[in-house]
Amino acid sequence: MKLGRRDFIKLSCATVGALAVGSTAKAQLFPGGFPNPFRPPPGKWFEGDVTTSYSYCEMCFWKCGMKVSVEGGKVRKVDGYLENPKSRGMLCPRGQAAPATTYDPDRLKKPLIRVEGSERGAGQYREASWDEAFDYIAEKMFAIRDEHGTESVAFMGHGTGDEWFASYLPGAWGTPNAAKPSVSLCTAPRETASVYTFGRGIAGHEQIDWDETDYIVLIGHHIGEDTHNTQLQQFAQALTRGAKLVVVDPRFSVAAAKAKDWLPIKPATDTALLLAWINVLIEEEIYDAEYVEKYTLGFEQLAEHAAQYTPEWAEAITEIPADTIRRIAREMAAHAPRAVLPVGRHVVWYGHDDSHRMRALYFVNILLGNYGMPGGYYLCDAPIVDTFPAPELPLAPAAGGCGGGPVEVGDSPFRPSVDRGKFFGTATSVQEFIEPMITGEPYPVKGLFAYGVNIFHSIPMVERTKEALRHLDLYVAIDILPMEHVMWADVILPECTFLERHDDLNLVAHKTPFIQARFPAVEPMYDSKPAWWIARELGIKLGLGEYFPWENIEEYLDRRLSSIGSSLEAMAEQGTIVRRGRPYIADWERLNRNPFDTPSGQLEFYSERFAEAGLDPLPVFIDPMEGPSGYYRLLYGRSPVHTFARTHNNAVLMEMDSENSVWLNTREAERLGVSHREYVYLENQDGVVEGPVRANVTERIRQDCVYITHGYGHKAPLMKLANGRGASDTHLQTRYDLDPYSGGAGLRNNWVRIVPGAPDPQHKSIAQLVRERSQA
Amino acid sequence: MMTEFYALPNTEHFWHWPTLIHFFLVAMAGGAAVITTIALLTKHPKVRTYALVTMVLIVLDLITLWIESPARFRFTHVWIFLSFAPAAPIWLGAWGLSVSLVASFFVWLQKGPRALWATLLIIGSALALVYPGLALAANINRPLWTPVVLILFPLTGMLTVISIAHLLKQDWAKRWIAPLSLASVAMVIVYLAGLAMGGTEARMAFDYLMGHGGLLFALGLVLMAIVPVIRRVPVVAALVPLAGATIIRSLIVEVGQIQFFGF
Amino acid sequence: MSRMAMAIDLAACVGCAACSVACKHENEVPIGVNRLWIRNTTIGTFPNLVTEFRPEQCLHCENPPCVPVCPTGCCFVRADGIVDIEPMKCIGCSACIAACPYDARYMHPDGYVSKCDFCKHRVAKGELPACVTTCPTLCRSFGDLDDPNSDVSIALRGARRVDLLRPGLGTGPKLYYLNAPAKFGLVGEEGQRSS
Repeated sequence: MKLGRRDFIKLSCATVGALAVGSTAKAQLFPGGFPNPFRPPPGKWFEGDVTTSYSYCEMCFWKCGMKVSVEGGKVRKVDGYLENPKSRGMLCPRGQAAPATTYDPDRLKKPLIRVEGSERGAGQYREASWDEAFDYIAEKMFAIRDEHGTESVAFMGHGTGDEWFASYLPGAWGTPNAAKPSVSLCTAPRETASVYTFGRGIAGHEQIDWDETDYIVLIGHHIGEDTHNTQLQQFAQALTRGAKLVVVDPRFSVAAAKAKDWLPIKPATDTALLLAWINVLIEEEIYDAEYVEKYTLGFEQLAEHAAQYTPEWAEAITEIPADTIRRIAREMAAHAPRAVLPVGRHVVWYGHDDSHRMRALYFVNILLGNYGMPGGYYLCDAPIVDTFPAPELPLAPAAGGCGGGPVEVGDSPFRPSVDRGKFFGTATSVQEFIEPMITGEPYPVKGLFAYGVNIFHSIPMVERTKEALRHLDLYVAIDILPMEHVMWADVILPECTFLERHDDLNLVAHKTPFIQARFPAVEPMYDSKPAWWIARELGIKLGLGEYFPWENIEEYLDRRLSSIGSSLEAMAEQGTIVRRGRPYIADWERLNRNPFDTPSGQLEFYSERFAEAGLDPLPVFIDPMEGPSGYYRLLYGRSPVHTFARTHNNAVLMEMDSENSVWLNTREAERLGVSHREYVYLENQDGVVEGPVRANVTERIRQDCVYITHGYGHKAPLMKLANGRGASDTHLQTRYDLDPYSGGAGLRNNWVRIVPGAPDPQHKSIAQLVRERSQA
Repeated sequence: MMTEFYALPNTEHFWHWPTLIHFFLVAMAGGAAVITTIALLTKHPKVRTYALVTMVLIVLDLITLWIESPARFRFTHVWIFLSFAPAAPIWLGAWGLSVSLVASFFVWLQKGPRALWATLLIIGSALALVYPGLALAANINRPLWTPVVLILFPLTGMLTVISIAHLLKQDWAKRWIAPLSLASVAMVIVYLAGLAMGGTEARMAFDYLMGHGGLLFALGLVLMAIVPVIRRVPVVAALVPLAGATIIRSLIVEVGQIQFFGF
Repeated sequence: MSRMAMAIDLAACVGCAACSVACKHENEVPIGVNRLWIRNTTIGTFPNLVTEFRPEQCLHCENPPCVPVCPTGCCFVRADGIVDIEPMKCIGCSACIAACPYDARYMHPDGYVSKCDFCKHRVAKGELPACVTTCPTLCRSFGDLDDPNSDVSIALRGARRVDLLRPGLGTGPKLYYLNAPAKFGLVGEEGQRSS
């Protein structure tokens, strides 16, 4: 069945290239606009002259390779292509909807400068030329530098262009205060735990060997709601192949609906379950002793430590029966090493507990002997492509990446970043940049660049963020849409969408490492510009021109590609270059190399480095915080058709899923007198209210928590489709718990109560809003 | 059972208020054609007037249809007459009305073979009268459009036109109002009973109808039922059954656009 | 002669709507109407639950109720079994919309009825419909029922169970749902309501 389909796809790829069907001749009986009753309906795009070009997707940060079809000067359709290891010929709903973002009429169109004397957030702007905007920024930055030093300008970035705005430009300018929310608000604990256990980071593309595994245990991992394309493909194929699935989640997630066992765990107790599994695997001696003997360090300490974590102990905490815990552990062991507990992506849940949980998760995998083995975790590294020859940056970038490990800062003449000393890890922590903007401690942060990062829909404590913005001397936002936080900036720089621009090469750590390129399918609309151009022009204004020695991106990319014997021209024909990987330990041993970059060269159960820092060398369970009575723990997750808070003005995706709802257990709803789809308010422990938001009265969630999908509840009137629909989880996150290991911000320690009786906001349909927009 | 959607099925009403006007006008047009036919066969002295009225009503109805068509600026309607679709109620209705229009025209002119016009009118008027009910009952997926409407709609259609005739002081009309009203009431009761005592889906449909205009429906029923009592009051005796029939017909068309797929 | 058909494996589908969005762009379906949507239904009580993710679209029935009610012949069945529309013959009477038991048809703002046509323009080039091509879970199979080696024939043979939508209406759908998660088949069919 698969094979036949593949053949079909191959055929389709072959025909796309030669898709120059003649344009439909349209009969014009009454030329000149007279209503023609014989006129056929307008021709379809695929009947016209269609050209295609390669890109990789930016609708989320999985970055699938795609082919872009253009007809009549417009992007009409995007598709995956078979040769690309991420898309493998397919795309998720968000990727498919990319054209609707490019043709969003609410886009930022020209550089804007806040009207002198107006309040930040008042939204009063005047149009400016790029030159004027750059001059304005440079003048302010020089003033900040002269008064406070270069470190007092902070950079935050998210997306492919963040290489320019959260790594390269800060490094050239000389500030360690560059951060990505994709670290401390997403992956930080798993990266820190991974580096200190395996001596390797988790790749951006979580390296689960789905194609070989027979038994999968997901811990709060929302595959299916999180539509990371390749992962979803491989997950579904594994299930179709007959792999068994166990899902641990307080909520009957999409993945849980596919599971043979759903363990509705009490929120915030996952670590206890994992420790109990470690206990059973060791006590019953069903772990992979050979693997543990050969590749690990500190097993004895772990065995001794885990003895206390019996299934009975865990049952009292997690509310999962001890028998079930034992049974699943035995099943895992029976399928090992082709049994795997995949690592999720967004793992900043409870702060104090997160790195412990991630280490415990890795330990179960190691005990199953699956790390670097078929059916477990494969090993991968990004392909190496030389950088463009340029002077070394004064300061090595410190932001880290979503998939990369922490970056060592090392000796430098610059002051350390403002979050240094608050946690053990070395990547920067975006939420820790906010407080210094207000307090000036340890030193003032007076300038801020926000590139593609929605600081009101990612960083908790939104009111604190707004207060911090009021203290700044310069706030620059580079974005595509007039998001609420963008309309607070002093200078707004409109970036073009990814379909309209080149970007840097994407070097992907994968089972088969690969390089993919992005080419513009159409010219930038309005007066929008690509990130590389904005960064370079600004760099030149800032006197940093020597670090941008290329004339244009074509020269930059061509030079980089020449280092691997390719060229920009070749890449335009090819889109992706795939390399061979070394996915298993055996592949490394054949070359007499050790893949584990830990001090011991072993997989470390017991961490000397944590012990030296006064931290727990082995994972422990810490009692979760309890909320006030009458409140529910606020859980959040993803809609399969949306990415963060970025896609909520995309007409096609909004039509699919136009507002979120709060999931509330049926019995709790009965107790509160809340009916299904009724509008309610959510009020958190600090009195912050969100809504009106619909109640989703459901059996699919425990009684002690509620759940909403992230990214709704925009308060941005210029985003006509997104504005005011649903509730924002971020706005309800008025507290967080800092993970002392990774610097991650645990966001699930917020509680809300349901306030029934909210008025129906009478939202217009998306179709109605789209009509109004097109008439305006 | 809890259902959520990504994107929505096309469950919105497909017929809107102009269609209700059409259903009213086509009842009159079809009924008028039937009256013209009977007048022609019985050599009624006013047959030319009735033929003229029939023509006017058919033309009005066709204009309504044309106006409500989303395709009115494409001359695609000609395809009705270029195709052969005897299973399509609308095709039958279109031919019925057209034939009635042509025949009425010649009756009014008093030209051509009378027997031919009579034959055409018998077929055409029958089709025109029957077709609205057929257009509804053809949809076995819509539980409010049961086979009973096949009888209910022609009955109420005739009631509509005869009420108007009575209003316009046609002597013969008066004696038909009460029997037609009572027959309509009987069919409405059969209709409701069929729903209320039917299967799961029919009972859901009954509840749905009661929840979406049940009171209005009852009003329509009462208006037709009280006709024998008020028949001596001239204008009222015509308006009351007219209103009753129109309410019942419009509600069945409007509310009946539901189907319980996925409920 | 051929009989084009589709099968959707509900055991694999996660209801992500990639198919629906792909369709929207491929066929320039206006905002406000849809050729393809996802119906997610949950039955049972905590913690014993079943959630079915079910994409729905035109089923290209072998006995399509929408075709005979069309007065102009604009709705027709092609030789390959695809139930199709000729927009230039459509008068917008909506009789076919009324007749469709699956809510698959809609009125295009340009004044003609439209719906899923199995991406006939792609099929003509030997390609798969856009929804099949993009589906990340590979839950869709498409092909000719009369060809035992087609994807759809193979998928039907390999299925644990096969269900049709509203089989009681005798429409003979050529879109098959495979491996429904509930023991009794598709949820929400007559007789299983309000469970």
